[in-house]
Amino acid sequence: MPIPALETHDLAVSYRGKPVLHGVDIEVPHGSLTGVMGPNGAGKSTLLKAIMGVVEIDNGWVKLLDKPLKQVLGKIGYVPQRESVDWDFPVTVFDVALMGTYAGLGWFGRPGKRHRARAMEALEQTGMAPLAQRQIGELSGGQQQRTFLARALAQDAEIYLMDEPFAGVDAATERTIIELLGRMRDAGKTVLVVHHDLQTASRYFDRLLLLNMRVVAHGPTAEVFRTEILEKTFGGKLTLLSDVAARSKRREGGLLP
Amino acid sequence: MSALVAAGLAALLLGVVCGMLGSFVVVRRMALTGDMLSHAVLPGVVAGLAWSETRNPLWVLASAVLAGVVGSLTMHAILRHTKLKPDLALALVLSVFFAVGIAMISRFQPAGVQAFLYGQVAAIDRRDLLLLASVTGLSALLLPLSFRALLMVSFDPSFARLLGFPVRVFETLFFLLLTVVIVIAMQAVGVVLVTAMLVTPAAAARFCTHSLAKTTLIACVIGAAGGMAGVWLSTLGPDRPTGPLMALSTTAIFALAALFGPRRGRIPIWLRRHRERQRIACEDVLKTLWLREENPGLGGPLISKESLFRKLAAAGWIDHSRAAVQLTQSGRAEAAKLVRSHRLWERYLTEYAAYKSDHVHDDAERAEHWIAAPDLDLLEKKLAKPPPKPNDTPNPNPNTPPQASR
Repeated sequence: MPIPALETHDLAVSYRGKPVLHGVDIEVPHGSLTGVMGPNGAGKSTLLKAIMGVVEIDNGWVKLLDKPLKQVLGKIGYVPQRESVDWDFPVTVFDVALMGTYAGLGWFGRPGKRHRARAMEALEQTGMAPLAQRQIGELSGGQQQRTFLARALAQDAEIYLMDEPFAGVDAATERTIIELLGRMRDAGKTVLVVHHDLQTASRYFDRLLLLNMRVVAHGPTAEVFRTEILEKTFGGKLTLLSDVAARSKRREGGLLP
Repeated sequence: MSALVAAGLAALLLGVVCGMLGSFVVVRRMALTGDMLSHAVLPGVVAGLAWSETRNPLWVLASAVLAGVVGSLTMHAILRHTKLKPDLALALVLSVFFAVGIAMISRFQPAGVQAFLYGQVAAIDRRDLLLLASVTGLSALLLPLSFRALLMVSFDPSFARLLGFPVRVFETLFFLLLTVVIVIAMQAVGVVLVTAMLVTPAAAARFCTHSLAKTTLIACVIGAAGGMAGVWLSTLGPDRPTGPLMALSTTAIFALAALFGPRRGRIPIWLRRHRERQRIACEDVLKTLWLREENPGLGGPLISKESLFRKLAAAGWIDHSRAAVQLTQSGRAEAAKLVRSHRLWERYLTEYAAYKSDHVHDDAERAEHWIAAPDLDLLEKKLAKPPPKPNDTPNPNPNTPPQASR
């Protein structure tokens, strides 16, 4: 088997002191477009954050392009969840896209003509070029997602992690995004997308990763997108698993009387 | 150098450096952290003053920064190891460190501590000024050079880390620089007013621009202007404390920016809103006139403000010279666009959005002013298929008067 673009082994992660993910083993092949799905609280965002090294890992490891994160910095792109962005921040659409070109810019570097051209090209691909000088808070939800997608495009990374890029967007934006994702995959990029909508999942993605605090199923969409697997994924939270884990953590920590 | 010139220079430099760092403090939502720091450094200030008999500003600065670092580490430790929320941790550190500082003042009674508590621009001597100038110069050099990196680390630290930027190092250096500036600013305006010097200019600048670079520049100018205005005001008579006057002058500029700032100031916002309302009112008059031409039975006097008529006449859309107001050719085309937009929207709501027919009119009254021309064409294409309902008027063609379209 060829070396996967992204691999996790026995990954366990807590979020704000609560165990969220248990024993996650995944291998994502190069040049694939994977939908990460599962009910609320299943740990979808946490998985992305653990891969990006934003949250601490309790156990296990993550390898990107067969290396630990620290050795592949700059090759990993991400599109944040809408809620985690400060939309009041004084930056324009162009500023955000330009950030995609900052890899290797260093402390005192200044983006040159080449960088600006790359950012502008990315904005054109996402249809945001006419709004390049808008402050990001003045955009619609769809335009905001396109802006961050442009940043990802300008970055030209190998692996992309996207946290609900389809949340709160209009139909036209949804089409634009899915077309772009397809093109990225065809260009050999590996894309992981947290997604909510079961209706569109089987059309949008080649592979699905169904999560509910652990991996319920992972593989080509045709194999995974089956009623009994979906029921297993979305059929209620694994209350016992989370309860026991949380209780053990609290008891061990001396937090319960 | 006369005392007044020294004070003015100090105010100028302070305003610039506070505006510069303050911009990042404001956009990173660290205003209260600044307040915490100005209180937490007090034990260090007292220790430095007590142990350095010559009141060497470098000693004072070093021990004050040390106290600031300890305060900040304490806060992070509280956040990490307890379930206390950030505001509580901040308040705890602020008050405890300040209490220790005050207790130390009673115990050691060091000379010159009054300046740090209440601020005293006159107490700033040549050595302080030199220090202030160096720090301002250093910031003015480093911040623009690393501006892009600082922008990204502030806006999206996770992304910055993914690109390989040493986010921690950045944040630590920024924090240290901030502490240094706070300690120096304290001597001019006192413990409590440091926050005003730090955040007010930047908060004012946010009303004026949506660019971080411009925010920083404007904040420097406002900080310098407010500071120097305070110094000037304090020379106008006896018993006028400089520090509070600096803070108040800066706040006065803030109030002006909140009113007149082109981006978010109340008055520009009000003007923009007023202009939109005028446009809508004008469009409504045009539409009413058009509907009357289409259906003469509607009758009744046309009630509207004279000013609207004048505006419409100036645009060449109505003929206001005769007793009855009449649409011109171009006015008719303009009105037809609105009616088309209104009717298409009504149909869209009933046929596609499952609105009841008695709910659509009010919605369309609003929407007709906002649908862009290309969207209208799309809408028309979309609606072209299904046959019109019994009480549906055909959509007017915008290029011909309504009579011709019948």
